[in-house]
Amino acid sequence: MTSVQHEPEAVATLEGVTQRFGAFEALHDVHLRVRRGDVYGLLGLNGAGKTTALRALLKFLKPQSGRVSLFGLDVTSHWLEVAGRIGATIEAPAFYPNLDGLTNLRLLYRLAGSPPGRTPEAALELVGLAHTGGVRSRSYSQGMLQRLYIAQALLGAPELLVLDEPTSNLDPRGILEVRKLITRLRDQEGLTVILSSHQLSEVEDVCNRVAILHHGRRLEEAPVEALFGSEQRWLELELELPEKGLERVSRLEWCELPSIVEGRLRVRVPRDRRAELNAILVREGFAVSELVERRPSLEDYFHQVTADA
Amino acid sequence: MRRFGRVLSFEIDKALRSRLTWVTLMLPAILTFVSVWIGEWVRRAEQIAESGDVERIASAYLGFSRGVGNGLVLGAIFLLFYSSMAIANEGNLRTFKTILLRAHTRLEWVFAKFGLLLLIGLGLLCVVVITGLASAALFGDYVAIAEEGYVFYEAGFMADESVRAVLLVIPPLIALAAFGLMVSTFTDHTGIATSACIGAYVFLEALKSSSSSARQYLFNTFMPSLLDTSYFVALTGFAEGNSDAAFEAGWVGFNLLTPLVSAALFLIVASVAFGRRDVVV
Repeated sequence: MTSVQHEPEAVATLEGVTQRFGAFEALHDVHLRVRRGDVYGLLGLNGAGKTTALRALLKFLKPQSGRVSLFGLDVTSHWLEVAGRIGATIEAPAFYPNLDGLTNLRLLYRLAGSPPGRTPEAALELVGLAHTGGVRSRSYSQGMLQRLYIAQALLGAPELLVLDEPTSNLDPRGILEVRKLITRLRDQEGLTVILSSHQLSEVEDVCNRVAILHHGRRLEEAPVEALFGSEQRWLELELELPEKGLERVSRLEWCELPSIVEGRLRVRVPRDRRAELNAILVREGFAVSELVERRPSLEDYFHQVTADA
Repeated sequence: MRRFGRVLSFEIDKALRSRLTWVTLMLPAILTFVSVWIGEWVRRAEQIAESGDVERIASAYLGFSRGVGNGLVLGAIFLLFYSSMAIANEGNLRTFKTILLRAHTRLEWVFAKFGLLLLIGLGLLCVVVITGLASAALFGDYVAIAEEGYVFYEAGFMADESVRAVLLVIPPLIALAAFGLMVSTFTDHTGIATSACIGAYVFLEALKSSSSSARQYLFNTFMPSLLDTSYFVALTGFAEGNSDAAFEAGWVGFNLLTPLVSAALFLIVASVAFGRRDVVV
């Protein structure tokens, strides 16, 4: 008997999307594929094209070329069929400032036809704003507005949640809560989430797949673990004589890419041999004053990819 | 249709909660009352100055026509201002990215916004007319236009002409709303939209004064404005005892046709412009 592995259904796809604003090319032949159940990170520095990709996905602009689909349907021609199945935040929060938070949500909820699922009150409760629902949104702090913005995306029962830098403007506690909320929505409600961010740690924490955009081009699309997992991390050691340490480490065949960066020895070592490396260095008289695991930053990744190219 | 109803209901809900809506409706009404009141005191002062020898026209129709005419001048400007904000303000607040995410077409949005503007325009007209009727009635009765015992126009005739004057304001009111909406679709800045509309208003006034009989092709020619060429001028003429102030039938036709054709064109442009534009986030 043979087992056939089915590729999960694609919930959102961008195929060869190019978007220019005058002479500036914001997206160049971008391909993205978000599968059902993914928490999909869209990672890139500011200006990489993340928001433009999301705008194309939400039919906020019509790309010069390429195809954008949601739930297998072209967004341009089938918007009315797919719109009710998505919730989104994009860039900064926007509400009617003269209305209170709850009224803003109620209006949007009724506009959507009062769909079954989460009510405005429940959405406010979920983002921790139940006690401030009666306050005019112009009086909200940036953090509260961001929560309210997430709440409007959760109205009804969206199958796909698009969150553009959802933790910007939030305090550390708020950031933690939003990350937990995303994980909970995926686990308990089976939501597919697209999360755009320029913070690697955020994507690592909550996403299972990631696409990296740089200058409007997709550099990579892969499972998070493959790009930023433990295999991609290195050790940084502070030694008295780093050059000698480099010479010694270079002779160990399981130590990869040894180098000295800013006076510290940097080397990639399998997790199960890190203790062994430390023991060797100590035994041979190297005074190791610090040994820390470092993960690549987004900048490191870009340097590596562009150098490879 | 249900989808359109939801968008229209959203717009109405929002408008009812907006201070600007109430200001747009109330200020022209206040001006109407003040205008009737001042007109009546001027009439009485003139009568006293002429030692009461001359019995001046005291019909409420005079106060009504002047008051409503003046109220609608301000009403037109307010409606233009309000309609210029219709779409530009959503861009200004960046709320398009929230509302356009729902399952509606952009055409539905344009027509729902226009529907709201029609309701505001008709509401404005009703408020001004009712205020005019009530405040003129405070100072006199709706009787025939007569002076020194000579009846120029019977009360029934004046009632008919008043109804005609009010009804003939509706087409240019529709065109004005559509014009403001069209301008509103081209920008995300309320300042630019309102400046463009008010600028266009002043320009059209200048055009009206310089284009003689060709002005009947302008959509706002028959709306009470700073250079009033509407039927209210004729109505005031009747109320003052002038006998040759009425519009010719052809002009009445233009009054009905030109603004409605213009409104349709403005709506087409607005729909195309709004349908094609990117949403700034």
